[in-house]
Amino acid sequence: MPRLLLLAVLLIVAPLTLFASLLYGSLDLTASQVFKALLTNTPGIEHEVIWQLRMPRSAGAFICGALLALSGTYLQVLLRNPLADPYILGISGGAAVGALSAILLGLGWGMVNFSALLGALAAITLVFGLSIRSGSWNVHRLLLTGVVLSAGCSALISLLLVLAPVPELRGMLFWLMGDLSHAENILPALALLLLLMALSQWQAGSLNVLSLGQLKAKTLGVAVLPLQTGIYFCAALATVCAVMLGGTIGFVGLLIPHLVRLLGVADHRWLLPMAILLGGSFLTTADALSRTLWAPNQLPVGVLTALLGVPAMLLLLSRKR
Amino acid sequence: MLSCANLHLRYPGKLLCRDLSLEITPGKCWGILGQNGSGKTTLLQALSGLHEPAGGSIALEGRLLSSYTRRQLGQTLGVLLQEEDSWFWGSVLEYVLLGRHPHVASLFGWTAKDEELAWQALQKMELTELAQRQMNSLSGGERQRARLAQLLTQDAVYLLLDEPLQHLDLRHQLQTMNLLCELAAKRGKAVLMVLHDMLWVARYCDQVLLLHDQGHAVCGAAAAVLTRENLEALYQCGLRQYGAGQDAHFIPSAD
Repeated sequence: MPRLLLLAVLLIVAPLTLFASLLYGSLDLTASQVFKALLTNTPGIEHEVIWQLRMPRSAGAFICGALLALSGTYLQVLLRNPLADPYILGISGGAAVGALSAILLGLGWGMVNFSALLGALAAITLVFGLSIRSGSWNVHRLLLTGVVLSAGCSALISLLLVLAPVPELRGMLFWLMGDLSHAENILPALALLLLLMALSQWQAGSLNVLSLGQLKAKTLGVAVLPLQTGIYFCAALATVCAVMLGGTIGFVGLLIPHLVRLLGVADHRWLLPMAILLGGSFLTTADALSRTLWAPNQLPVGVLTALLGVPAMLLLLSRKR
Repeated sequence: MLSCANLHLRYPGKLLCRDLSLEITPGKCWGILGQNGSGKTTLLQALSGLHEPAGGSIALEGRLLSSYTRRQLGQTLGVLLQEEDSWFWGSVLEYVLLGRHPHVASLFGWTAKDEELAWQALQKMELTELAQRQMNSLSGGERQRARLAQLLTQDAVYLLLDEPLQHLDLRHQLQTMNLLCELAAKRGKAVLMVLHDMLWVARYCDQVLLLHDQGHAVCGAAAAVLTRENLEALYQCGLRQYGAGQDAHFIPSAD
């Protein structure tokens, strides 16, 4: 499929998935009621449901998916490893240890988020400090440091889950598997997404060159160290923000960049915006399904992202020569 | 002019170059010969700002190399690395167009000039028909020609090539050497290349640098440097010489 056509399709699909996710929930709403609530300021139950409940969650899901896809794409270029995802550097592990510790201590949701942020920042600093040597990145050391830190965090998470009293356990598991029900204040995340989109488009050509290797990129005029440092911190910020919105939602950051590549787009000038749109649409759809398929109960959204993403990826892989 | 003065190069535990001074001027074709591990690649990387010298200085157009930005260096110095990762995400044309990256002025793609230069380079390297093929599907020789095409698309004044003829068949070796020397003689490029075949050096290079072990180097006009004695000392084996001047070729003696 030509790149421009694919981008056009994704630009149409993104608002459609957002709109569809606003339609479904415990209160049945028609499309015209949703339109009316979106376009007018008439007070009423529909207006309240859309703007107070569904829009923050749907938009939060979209932004979270977009950030995860963006982070995954960045890290796959930085680490030159197709298995890289937003959680490979231990950032989500640090956030999870922070968040679960706060839940275990019975702190409020604000403190859970703050603890997650502290844990993530500690992981980012640790990985960065250990990976940069003599003014240059060692990508293998970066990957190894991240994997080791992730393993350490996994052990701590297991310990916290064992120590947790049963009433807290469900909330902790939902946080770990991804839970967008607490995505409320989305404006900072939206601002970050827009900033990262602008930065990524500006540097997309350099990412294309960096994918040829560090030495080659230098010969083609890329200032490799500043670019790699920028990618690392942009990916880390995107991951932290996504984790604070929806916990550790798996598969999106790994699968979405590969899905776009399997659709024939690998040039980062096109890949990045398409991954953002597809990641956002994908997680919005998964979240809508997670809260409607088994209503009034909710499924962890991470389970849905895996159930939807894995078959799609396998199908595309089987069709690829 | 690309020059170095009193250059010292080290690799961990080994002195590669000592007090080397060179002046590489546009219009000339240089050949570098030396044993494995004698520092040919390190010298090329130092001259292109990819390896930090242990001493001495390197200057480009009268300014220290270290005072240039990477982008400025990319616009002036074209480097063909000896090795490059084989995986690439796109087509041959997309790969070749990346040579324009140091010159790119738009966020939204390549200009008509960029595309024109890429197609010209593809034509010179006989890759026009393979332009839309995935880079990963090429043979070793085709891939090497694509790498050379990318270097041509970069359109730099100084071309530093590390083993440009590797993987090429005889016809493409000949075409590549003709093209590189034509670029030096008629288009004012400076060409500096690491080669292993003395025949090509004798036939095409104006200047030759022989890199010996322990940092010793012999440098000068090809006719003066490419002697049987110098080459026997360089490779530490007996040689027989046939022909002279540009037709000189050297074959290892049986003993």
